[in-house]
Amino acid sequence: MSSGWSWWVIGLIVFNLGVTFFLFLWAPRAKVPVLPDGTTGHVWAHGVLREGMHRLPGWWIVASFAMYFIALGYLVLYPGFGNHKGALDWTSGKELAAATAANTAKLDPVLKRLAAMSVEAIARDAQAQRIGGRLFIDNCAACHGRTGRGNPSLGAPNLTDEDWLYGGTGQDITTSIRGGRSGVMPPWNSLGEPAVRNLVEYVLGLSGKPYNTAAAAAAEPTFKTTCAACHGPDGRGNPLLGAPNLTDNIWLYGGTQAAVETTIRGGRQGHMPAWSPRLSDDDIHVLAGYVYHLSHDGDADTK
Amino acid sequence: MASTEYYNDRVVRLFLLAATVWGIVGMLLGMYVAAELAWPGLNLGIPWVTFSRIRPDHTFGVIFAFGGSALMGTCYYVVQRTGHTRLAWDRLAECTFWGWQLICLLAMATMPLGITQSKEYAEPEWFIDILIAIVWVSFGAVFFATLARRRIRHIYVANWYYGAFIIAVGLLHVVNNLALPASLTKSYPIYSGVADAMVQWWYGHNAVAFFLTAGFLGMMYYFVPRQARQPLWSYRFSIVNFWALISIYMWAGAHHLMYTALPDWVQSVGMAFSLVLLMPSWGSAANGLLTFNGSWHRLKSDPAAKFMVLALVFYAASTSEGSMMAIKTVNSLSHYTDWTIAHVHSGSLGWVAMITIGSLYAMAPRALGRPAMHSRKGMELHFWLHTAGTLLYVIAMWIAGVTEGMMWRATQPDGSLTHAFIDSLMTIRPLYMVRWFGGVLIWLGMWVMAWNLWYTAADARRRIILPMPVPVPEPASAQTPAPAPAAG
Amino acid sequence: MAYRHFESVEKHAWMLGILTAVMVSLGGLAEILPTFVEATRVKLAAGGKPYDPLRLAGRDIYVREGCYLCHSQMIRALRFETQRYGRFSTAEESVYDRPFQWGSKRTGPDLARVGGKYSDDWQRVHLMDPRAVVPQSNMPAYPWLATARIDGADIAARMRTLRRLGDPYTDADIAAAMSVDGRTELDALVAYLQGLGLANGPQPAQAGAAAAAPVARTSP
Repeated sequence: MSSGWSWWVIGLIVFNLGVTFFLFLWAPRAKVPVLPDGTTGHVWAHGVLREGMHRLPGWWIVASFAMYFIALGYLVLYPGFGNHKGALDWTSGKELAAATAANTAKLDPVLKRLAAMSVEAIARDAQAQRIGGRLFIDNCAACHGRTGRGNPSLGAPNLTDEDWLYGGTGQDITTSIRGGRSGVMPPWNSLGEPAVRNLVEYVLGLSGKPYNTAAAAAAEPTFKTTCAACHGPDGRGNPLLGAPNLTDNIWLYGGTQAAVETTIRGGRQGHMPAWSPRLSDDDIHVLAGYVYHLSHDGDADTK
Repeated sequence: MASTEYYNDRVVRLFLLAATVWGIVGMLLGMYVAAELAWPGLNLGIPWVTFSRIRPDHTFGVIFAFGGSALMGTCYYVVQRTGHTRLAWDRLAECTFWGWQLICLLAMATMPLGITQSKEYAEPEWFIDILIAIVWVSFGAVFFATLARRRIRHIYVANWYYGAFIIAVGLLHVVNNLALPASLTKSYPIYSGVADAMVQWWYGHNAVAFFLTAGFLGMMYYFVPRQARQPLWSYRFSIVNFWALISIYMWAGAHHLMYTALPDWVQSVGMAFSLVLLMPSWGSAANGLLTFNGSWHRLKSDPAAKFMVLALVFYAASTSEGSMMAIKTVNSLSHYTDWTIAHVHSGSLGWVAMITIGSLYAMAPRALGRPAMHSRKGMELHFWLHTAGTLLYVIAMWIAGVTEGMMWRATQPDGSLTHAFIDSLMTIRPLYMVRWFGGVLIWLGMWVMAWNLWYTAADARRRIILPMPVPVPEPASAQTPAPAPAAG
Repeated sequence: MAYRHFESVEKHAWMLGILTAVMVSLGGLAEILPTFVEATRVKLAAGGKPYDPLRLAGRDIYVREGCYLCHSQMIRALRFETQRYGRFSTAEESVYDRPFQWGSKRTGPDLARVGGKYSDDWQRVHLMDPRAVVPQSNMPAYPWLATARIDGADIAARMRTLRRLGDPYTDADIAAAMSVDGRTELDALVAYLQGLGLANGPQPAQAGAAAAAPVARTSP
């Protein structure tokens, strides 16, 4: 703010508070004519409305002085009078920096301790689970659900089972969170009508669901030449590509005939955003431990 | 000068009717949006009754349609009686009535369709804003022209407040709504970002200050001494309070933007002035309450007076709460939470609605030429429904707000946050139901009032409403004491 | 001051009116004028641009639907706030926001840095039916966005209006508005949400646009 504007602000503050303060001192003493009945003699509304002339209550005068004093004191101590920085040299930025530093001093040792542990070990650390739990609900639960059971309408995987698209070691999970993951299954509608429908039966068959054997047999060559590139010749998937295992009856987008057909026709490009740098590396490490814990509940109990 | 001149109470009665209807409509909308927060499927997939589209209808409906009609009606009533003169420009006065109703209808029809500026309490788009400006200037013209032709030299304090309400709201409205239209239904404000935030909350806070406070203080200054049948407690007090209140209020808007990207100095100034503001606020409440000194017994027999006294208590309570919430430290907890909602409603349901209802009960029989309201029991019932509903609402939202604020900042000893955001919503969800129920009670109370007014008016219709003659000519010595006032 | 001088204010309507007008103007003159003048000087760091047509359309839908009634876009300079939502919001980030969308109530979480936090798919599903992804949510569904279409000519008119107000749109920018003609409102709103906290944030000189985003949070 230029010094011209600064003086403008200072001038207006002083003027406004000055006028009201003057009235505050003046009005109780002003020589207003008073009638013997204690009213001003001003009369309105057919004589019904009159004005008394009581003194201002003592508590109110004291409190007013106090408020003026506090307000002026505040503006002396804190920025407010234009460019005047305030005697305390306070800014909201400094307050934030100090509060953050104080909090970091508490949090950092904890995060350093955890950073030195493996993800698998963090999964058994109560403090880490609490920190990770909050991070999970604020950030991950929107897709994976509060309890981590996933959401088929998004293709967000269930994190509580043993099935992992990209691998379930601590390192794998950390990598997934840090960089995000993007599904890359292309649409296969172009294979033609009978081929798609036959493939659906084949895929249902792989997972042990009831299926049409004749149709599935017809689709086997297509599967081996087309789908196997990612899902493997036996349909067990490939964690390097994030291609799901089709034989375990665990479904990202649902395992009904209709859902499988939609998947084959349209492809699936489920997307998990990268959480670095939104979350710090230390946070991601703790979070990975929490996610690991979700599918290793039993382990934690026995150890 | 004609030998008999009569008060123009026709336009007052029209506003009285409109206020009653809008009160019921606005509060029904409030109940509905409150229910949607508790049970989110309630919009049934209809865009224009979805919470985010229709909440502005609730706020506009209760503030500008209900409050505005009550303010303009009582303003016309008061300025005539405190000036011993008929309202200036009958036709224009009537135009302000129809114009205001048209504005309310237009605004409340367009906002749910998504035609909105998204500036809180100033949502209507530019073409409605122009209409508002025209009607407002007309309202001011009628008011000041009536003042100019008054027969009592000294202007009564109620009119100071009504005048400030008209001038300040006009100023706020014009400055905040400066925008460039891109089409009939869309405009962009000339301010952006920080400047827009500053202008909007200067407006937003002072819509509270001048629409919901100064205007209603005008109402209070007339109807409280009248209902207490006592002289206003202190003229000296009025002077200090008036000038401090109207000027200091205008600085306080910045307290809506604490710890935001608004420069620190503006935030500090907003906070400092908000603290000083407590004194004229409490002063005004005290001036009203102390007027009842010596006639507290009237509360037993007069529900209208009861409404007024409780209104003043709520006024004192919510202004001290407001000053407290303007303190940066408190604000860091209360801002963005339901505490703000609690505060607004203790002000609007406690202060604004109660002083309005009390004043309507005081004014209606007189404007309708009846000795009293149709049913005193009805007024009593309304009082208790309204009080219980307000308390339920406000207490539920206080608890909800403090809970949210505490949960958002709760930090473990190890420096990590304790709660996820959604946890706070899950915790306060039951309180949203309690709040809704409070709203239902209040709304039922409004129906009791409507019924009571209807029968009071029906009694009046059976005879002809005799126009009230203005006492002309005024005795030359208008400033000498009148004889002790007759009852009523 | 003798009382009789003061009293004349209360005996002359015009004096009362003028003095009232003066006294109610002071606060605004002191707080708004300097802020407004200062705000015209706030310029984006290099790379900051006004909203592209799709995001502008999305922003206007955000305004139209009243999202600001439950969502803030203002991370306050408070430790527990930056710890949850990321770096605090700055004046630069809302220079092109007409009107500003800082909000006044958080029934839902702050959105100042929600851009990129969730996938586009999530945003779509969530807008169509919030409880399909967050069962505890009390947010309304906005299914009509999926079928309503954007009018490119209307967006172009809006961009011209914004240019008249000073936003630096070029003729080419405005001509590009026709490219969004026929896109769904859902597309536009998702594009807007996915840019929040990213596109207009001050960009560190060394980093690319994507990495420039939000922020570290529990550690400095």
